[in-house]
Amino acid sequence: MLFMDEMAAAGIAGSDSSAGLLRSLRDRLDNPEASIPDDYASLVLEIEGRGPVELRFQASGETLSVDDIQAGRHRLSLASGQVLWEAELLQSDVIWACAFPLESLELAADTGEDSDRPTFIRTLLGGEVEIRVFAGLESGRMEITAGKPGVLEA
Amino acid sequence: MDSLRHMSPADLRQLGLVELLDRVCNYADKRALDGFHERRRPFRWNGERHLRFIELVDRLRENALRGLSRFRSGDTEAVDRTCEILVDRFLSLPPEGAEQQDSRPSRNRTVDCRRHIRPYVRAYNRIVGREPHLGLLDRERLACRLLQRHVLEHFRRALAEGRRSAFRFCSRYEWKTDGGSLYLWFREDIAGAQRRAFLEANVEDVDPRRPGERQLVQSIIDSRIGRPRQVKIADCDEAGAPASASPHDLAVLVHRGIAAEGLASVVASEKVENIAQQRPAIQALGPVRLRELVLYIFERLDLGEYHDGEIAARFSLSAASFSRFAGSRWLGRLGQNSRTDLPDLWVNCARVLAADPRLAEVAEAAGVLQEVREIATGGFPPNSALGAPSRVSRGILPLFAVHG
Repeated sequence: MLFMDEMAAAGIAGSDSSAGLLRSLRDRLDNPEASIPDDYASLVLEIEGRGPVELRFQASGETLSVDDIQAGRHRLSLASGQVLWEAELLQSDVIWACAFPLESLELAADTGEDSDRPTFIRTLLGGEVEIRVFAGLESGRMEITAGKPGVLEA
Repeated sequence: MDSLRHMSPADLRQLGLVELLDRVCNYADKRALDGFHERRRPFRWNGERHLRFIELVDRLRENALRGLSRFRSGDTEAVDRTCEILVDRFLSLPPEGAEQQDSRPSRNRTVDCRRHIRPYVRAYNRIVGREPHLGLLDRERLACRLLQRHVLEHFRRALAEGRRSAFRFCSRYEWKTDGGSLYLWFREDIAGAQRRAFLEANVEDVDPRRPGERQLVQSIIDSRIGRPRQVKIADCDEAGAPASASPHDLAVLVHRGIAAEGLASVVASEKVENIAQQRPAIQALGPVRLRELVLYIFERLDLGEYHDGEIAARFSLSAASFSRFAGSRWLGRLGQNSRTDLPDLWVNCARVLAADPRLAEVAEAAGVLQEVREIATGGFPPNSALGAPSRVSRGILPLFAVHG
């Protein structure tokens, strides 16, 4: 089958680094009909009661932050459709007073402590995607990191 | 094994693209295939991201129609046919039953998406096998790109098939000019000398070396002479059939279809629309192959080269199955058997012939009208003079391939 030969030709022999591999794949497998700049990864966060948010990662290891995270059902998928994570976030995940009832948010913010203390962490795709949720005064913040920093960076 | 075979929809949604399609190949998993078509968006096109398969097909269709000058003029039919073929290749699993439980693609010529998906899965696995350190995000992106290329490759091939199908009632003509040759399509019934005369009278200043010249000349031919077209049954209905008429109604087919399509195509359409009522071996062909079979049968009849064994082998049908469908040796049984023993296709033919006054006139001129009517209405003449099937259908095909 011709396609099989093409696929063989699109193989990655000769690439001696991950960066070369990615460039090779990009160059050889792209096609003129779909000439769109390639993101490293594109994820979609669906939040109960709100529209989906597309998160486009330009490079491996990049972290994107989504604000105004409320308690409720959340789903993270690859934009191509594969569901990576689906769960319910609780008030204790997104509201500081519920997460740390004995501590002052202002004080923690002053010391930069809030960013060090996620209330929720999930590692997905064998560690290539990580979700961290941080509690806030009225809503939380979700940080999503895609890729392994420094390993596959093109 | 059962736990592997059966996965919940939620579990299927969490599979990577290749894993999902691998399930289609290995377990003929209809839910996995549905999940792919409904929820997966691995394709992109001209600035649009995350398209589903059917959306990509739609973009390809629009693109092909916009770029008609790159193909042949008036190729809407060819493009539509191309899309049908493409969708069939990625959407069709064999009917539920024993075959669906079998992980192997069916051996006959039924359209089976596993035949077309499995090479993609293998190609992906081969590349990933060479680069085991690829991360899962990279793999998924690779999977999407490979699938896009795979579908595009199939589209290109299907386009060639669609063109052949659209020009089914035409033949190619080489127009030799001082500057070289142009290869053009003409209706089959126009002789070579007439073709040359038409071209010389209607095309001025031809230069085969000029880009787009062939398309330009073909568009002149198509606009002034026309060419036989296939018209979908559904389109016939939309065009204003009586509200009470079913799209499968024979009268609708005959009155609206034959004028535009010709006998072979009308009979093929009727067979395809009623595929569920065909014998199992014929059903297993699937709609695309069944249409091809019927059209091929008429083509062989028209050429006077009708050999049961050759046609049966070509479509992977047993001799018995083919004999029941369109065998040529039923004449020897005249007077011994009932109408139900007649090959299905010839009964269909007779019904179509009897249902149209113009065709009936032709049948009468050929001396077979009485037999046609009796077969069509269920009677059967004990000493029929009805000739070989070719006698009925040959000659009628070009007569009723009216060109518009």
